[in-house]
Amino acid sequence: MSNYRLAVLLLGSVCGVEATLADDGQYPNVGMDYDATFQYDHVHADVPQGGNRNSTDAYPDINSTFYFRFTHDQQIQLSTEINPVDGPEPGQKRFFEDVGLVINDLNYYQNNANSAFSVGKYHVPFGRAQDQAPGLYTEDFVSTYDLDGMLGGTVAYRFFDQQLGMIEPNVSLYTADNSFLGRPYLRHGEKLQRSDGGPSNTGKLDSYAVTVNWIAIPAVPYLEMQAGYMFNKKAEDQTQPDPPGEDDETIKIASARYIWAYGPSTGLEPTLAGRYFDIVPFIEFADVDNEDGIQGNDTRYLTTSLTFDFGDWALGATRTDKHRESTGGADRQDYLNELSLTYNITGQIKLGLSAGTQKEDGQMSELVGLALTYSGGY
Amino acid sequence: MPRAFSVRSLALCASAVALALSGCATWHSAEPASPPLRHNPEFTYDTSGVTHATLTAAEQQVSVGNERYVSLVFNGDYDSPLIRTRPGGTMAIRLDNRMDEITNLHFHGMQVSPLDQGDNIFRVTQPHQVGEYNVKLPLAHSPGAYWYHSHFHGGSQRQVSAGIAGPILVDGMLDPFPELKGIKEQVLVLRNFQRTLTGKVASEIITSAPSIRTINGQEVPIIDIKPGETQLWHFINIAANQYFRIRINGQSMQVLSRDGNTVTRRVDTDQVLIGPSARFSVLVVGPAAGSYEVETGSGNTGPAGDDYPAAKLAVLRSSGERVATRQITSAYPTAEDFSKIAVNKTRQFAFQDSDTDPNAFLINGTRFELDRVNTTVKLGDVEEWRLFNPSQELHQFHIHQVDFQVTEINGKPVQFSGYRDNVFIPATGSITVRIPFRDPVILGKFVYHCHILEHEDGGMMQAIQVVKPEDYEQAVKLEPLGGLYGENNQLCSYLRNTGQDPKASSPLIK
Repeated sequence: MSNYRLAVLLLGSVCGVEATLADDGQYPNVGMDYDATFQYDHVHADVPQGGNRNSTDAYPDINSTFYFRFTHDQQIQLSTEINPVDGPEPGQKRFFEDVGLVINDLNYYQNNANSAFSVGKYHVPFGRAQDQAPGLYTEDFVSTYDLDGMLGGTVAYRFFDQQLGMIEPNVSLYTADNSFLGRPYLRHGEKLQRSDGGPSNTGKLDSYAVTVNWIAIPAVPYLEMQAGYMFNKKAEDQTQPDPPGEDDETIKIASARYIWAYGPSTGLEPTLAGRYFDIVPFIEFADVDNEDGIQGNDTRYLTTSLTFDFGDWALGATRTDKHRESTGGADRQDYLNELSLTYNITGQIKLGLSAGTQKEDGQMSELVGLALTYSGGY
Repeated sequence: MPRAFSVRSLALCASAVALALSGCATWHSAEPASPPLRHNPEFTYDTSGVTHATLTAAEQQVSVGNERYVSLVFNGDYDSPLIRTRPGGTMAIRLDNRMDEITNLHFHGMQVSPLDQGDNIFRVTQPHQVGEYNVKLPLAHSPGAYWYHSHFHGGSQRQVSAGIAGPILVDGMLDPFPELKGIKEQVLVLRNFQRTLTGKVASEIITSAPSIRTINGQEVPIIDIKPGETQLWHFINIAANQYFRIRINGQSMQVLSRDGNTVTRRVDTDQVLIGPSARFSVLVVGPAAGSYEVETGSGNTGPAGDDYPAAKLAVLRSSGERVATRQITSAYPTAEDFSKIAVNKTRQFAFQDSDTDPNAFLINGTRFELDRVNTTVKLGDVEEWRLFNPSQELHQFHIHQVDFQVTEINGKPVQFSGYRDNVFIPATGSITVRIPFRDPVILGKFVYHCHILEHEDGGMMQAIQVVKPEDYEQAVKLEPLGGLYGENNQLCSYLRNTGQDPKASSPLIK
């Protein structure tokens, strides 16, 4: 099947699915949410030794979540993602290549009046830069602590006080997925093996994360704060009781986000007419010891962003600094600068543009991306 | 230019947009000639003031505007019956549920008893069963526009969107204005129906999806008026989630009533902003002969909210001989300004989207729990509630059984012009309201919630019980167990929980 036919098939299948039952309050029932993105990335790499320095990648990113609901509060959810399994090689030009399906979530989820928990394969709720910083590429840049598809469980409890607002502690216990759920489908690729090493790849529930969210504070209701600690157990090597060069990865994180809305624009008429305007500064600091389970590979991330929302438009600027401490020579400083613009063409279709510069592992590159997303549900 | 950024990729991109637009997003049918506005089928009251009505809820094929859909409707019509009543009257409603799903009824905005067979949303009617409602209006009940709808938690958004909702009129709005006696009244029921590919009502409501917006079930009907003629239009927004922002091309309107409450001073506007569940009764004067579009502007409820386009709703056709315009000359009715009094208690409520679950919506960090009461209020108290919204989208506050006064928006005072039963909470803003819990008829358990029903179904709702002051301590203790009035909100539960003799004359009935 040609890549072009695949593209049409994927997009057509999203648009053509017949309705099933969704959450109509009668249980049990099933439902589905999805978003389908066509994304185009262009990377110009500054390669000292010359050669083709441009890589391009046009690909789909289709996220679907299927729900089997037992009650209003209890459900099993399965989230899949269809996108390229690996990124392009430097200089590679791809069009709908290496597309596969991965399972991001397969878990039992229960959301009660004040608490929520999930168990199964799930996303560890830790850090906010991946969701709150505008742009297309920050999520990848902070993937060290954005842990998707882990096996385990998480429990959260929401406390509310008339003076303090909502305080939500969250505890997660997990391990990396070595099961069949961890392999890509519809394309080549292998599941994560124990021998691959890496943090939390132990086969045991011995990694954990704790976060506390503090939001909806009556005195400063538009301030959101998070603090957290993550411990990822080093991989175990059966041949050596204490493998050299590896250590437990720990991450301490703190973030704050504030929404400042221009008062006159928050009236009912200006809001409905698309003239709502706000500015959203965001900052997140993460202190990582032994990143990727490598002893002495200590890094610090600082993500700062500013988002301007105006009606159907959102303009964002994000900078993420990654500082790596060196035991011997000079420290290394990587970064990602990103300027992005999002426009809601309709309530279900949005267009995102992003441009940025990046220095990663000492290599400079310029990034340009376009993403067209259609969202819906059945 | 890199190879992949080529005509082919652009073509694919364009195809994707075209697929989305043609396959999923928009269906335009040929626009037929506009029909004259039809009047809702109506149940009215007899000489004793009782309105008997049977509402048969069933899934069947109906006309939604100019298209045919299988939907959930009352009495075989997407245009639900109008229930007409009067202060002191009674609505005796038989809910014949012939659907394969649970439902119930709420009598929106009415200051009536929430107990037993009254406006009791804690009762449900099972599939293929009949529910009886007996709703007695106090003699002092405010005349105006109200509505009834499914309040079945978890399914209300879909059922209301499908058609399980309809208008109510309480007669007498023009009584304080004898100079307006005899003017023509038009009930304009505003609805939004999501288009689907299946010809059936959508299983999952997506507020931003392409839809059919109707007045009295019709697409772009013609509303006739004579030049100079004064008419009273009752806009009743019974859409599940959408706001209407209505203009009559070049014409101004005079607001006579909001949410069934006559305003206390003259209010003129060229646009009415009608939130989900809100009602506006306005005086419209026939312009010079010609046709004028009645349209609703586009809706954007914030960066995290919904987005829907503008639409033409109707055509105002002015024709015939010019007639004399009726003007209000009488004094507006007065109402107590609660901003001038000391309140008994103040509370704060955060209406917020969940940060982790897109389908969960919270009030003070809590999702609705059927068997728990969150707030207990003493009968006779006037309370001030500050409602703040840390989310980047609008919420629409509504409380059952009582009206309230909006005193501040984003901390700035609001000039008093009458009461409401629902109000928007600005995205990243706040609203302050004062609520009189004074009328003994409201004793019982009811709810307050966001009336964007997607949010209500997602948990943005809490239960409140209003109790006699002497029962307050006991009622607070019983909050985790469903409150003083029990799980089903019944008088017998109240008597049991207060230790009173069921045979004794009930203080609630008094």
